[in-house]
Amino acid sequence: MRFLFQLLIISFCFISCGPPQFEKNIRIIVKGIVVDENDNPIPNLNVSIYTERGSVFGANKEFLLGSGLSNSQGVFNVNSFFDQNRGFQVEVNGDELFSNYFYQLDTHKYVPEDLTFNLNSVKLNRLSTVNFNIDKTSMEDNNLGFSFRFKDTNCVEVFNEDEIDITQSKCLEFTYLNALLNKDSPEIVSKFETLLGSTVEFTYRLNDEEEITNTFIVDKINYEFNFSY
Amino acid sequence: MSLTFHIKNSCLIFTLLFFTSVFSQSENESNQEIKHDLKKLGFGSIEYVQPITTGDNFFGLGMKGKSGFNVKAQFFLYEHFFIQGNWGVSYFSVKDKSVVGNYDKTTLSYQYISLGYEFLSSSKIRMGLSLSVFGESRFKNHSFTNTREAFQFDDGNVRSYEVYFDYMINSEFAIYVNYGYRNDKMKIQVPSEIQSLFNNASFHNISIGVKLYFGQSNVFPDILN
Repeated sequence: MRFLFQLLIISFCFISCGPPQFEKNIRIIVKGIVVDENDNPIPNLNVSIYTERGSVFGANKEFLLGSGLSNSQGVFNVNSFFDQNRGFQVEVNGDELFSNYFYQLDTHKYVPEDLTFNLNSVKLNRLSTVNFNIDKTSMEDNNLGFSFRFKDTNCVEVFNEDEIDITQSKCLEFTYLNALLNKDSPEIVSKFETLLGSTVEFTYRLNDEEEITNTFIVDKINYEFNFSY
Repeated sequence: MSLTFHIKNSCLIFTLLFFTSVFSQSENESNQEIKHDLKKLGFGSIEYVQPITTGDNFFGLGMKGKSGFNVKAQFFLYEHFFIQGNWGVSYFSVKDKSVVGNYDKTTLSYQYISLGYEFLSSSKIRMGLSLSVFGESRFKNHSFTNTREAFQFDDGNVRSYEVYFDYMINSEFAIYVNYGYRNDKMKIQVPSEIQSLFNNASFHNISIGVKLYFGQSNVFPDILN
């Protein structure tokens, strides 16, 4: 009995610990056209199809099923393996010049007709890097709390069958970067990426004074922001 | 014109020659006695295979042949007609992922039964043709993401057309070369716009191997008497 139990455990381990197997005898096509905010085609962008996307207990479990590049007209047409998985995702990577687009679908529940995933027109926005420098000029021991509110560079669209699920999708939403400066760390030089032409809110509070918000438009590929307190 | 077209034409010519040789030989044979030591029950063989992918299909455009091994058992049923069992494995690497998908290599294992005719048999040389009648192939595709392995299977039905040339070292032992054209019918479901690309997997097999003949009569020596 004990031997049988051990055999069962070992068999289970062999079955469950082996490399994953994608759907047999199936290929899919992922197609579409990638354009910028002015509807101009973007060539040479990487389009990748993943399964098991997302982390489990911090471990990266994703597998690449297929990949290809957009051509000079921005058109992509990628032949790929297929996997029925909740973490099935197509990524159009903006290559640090443009925003990123993610198409997510639970392929356990739905497989498109004719095994073709047509993303149609994927619009990506040009990116800007905001380099910020906050330094201390006063001699007093001041505390400065600050935050930047700016547009995220990722657009994740979650689909239920062929309808977009607005509640789960997060497309170029606002995100925050905040920190507290004090006598131990009075200065900071850092950067973040956001959409070119978007508005950034800079909010700060000096000691217990009232919160102040300033806004600026990111109108350059490399935008410099300096602040002293 | 594609290479496949020429190969299909060659196969047709071979088939015509084959049947011509069957009838002419059977006539000749009725006039002369076949030497007793040329008659064999069959042979077992093992061969090294060099696969060469070809054709306007996912295999020809996206894969490259590396190596393979084949084991065969052949039985002469009646006179020069034979049945052959084949088991083998071949290895391929991916040369264009945009055609086939994200994988790096394929291990192809197969087994099939062929029927054929040996149109030349002398004390030093034997030559024969065969066509597969039933067989299955399994393509195990290996992919790697950040060094982590995953795999996927494609299945197919074997279609094989072969010709062999034996050089007899003695009455039992031979070294041989074999040419085979494989055009496996695939069972892959794909979007209609790329269906034609994934219908078949075609490649040439050029092999060299050793054979051990056994027995001194056919399986059914008196079937027509």
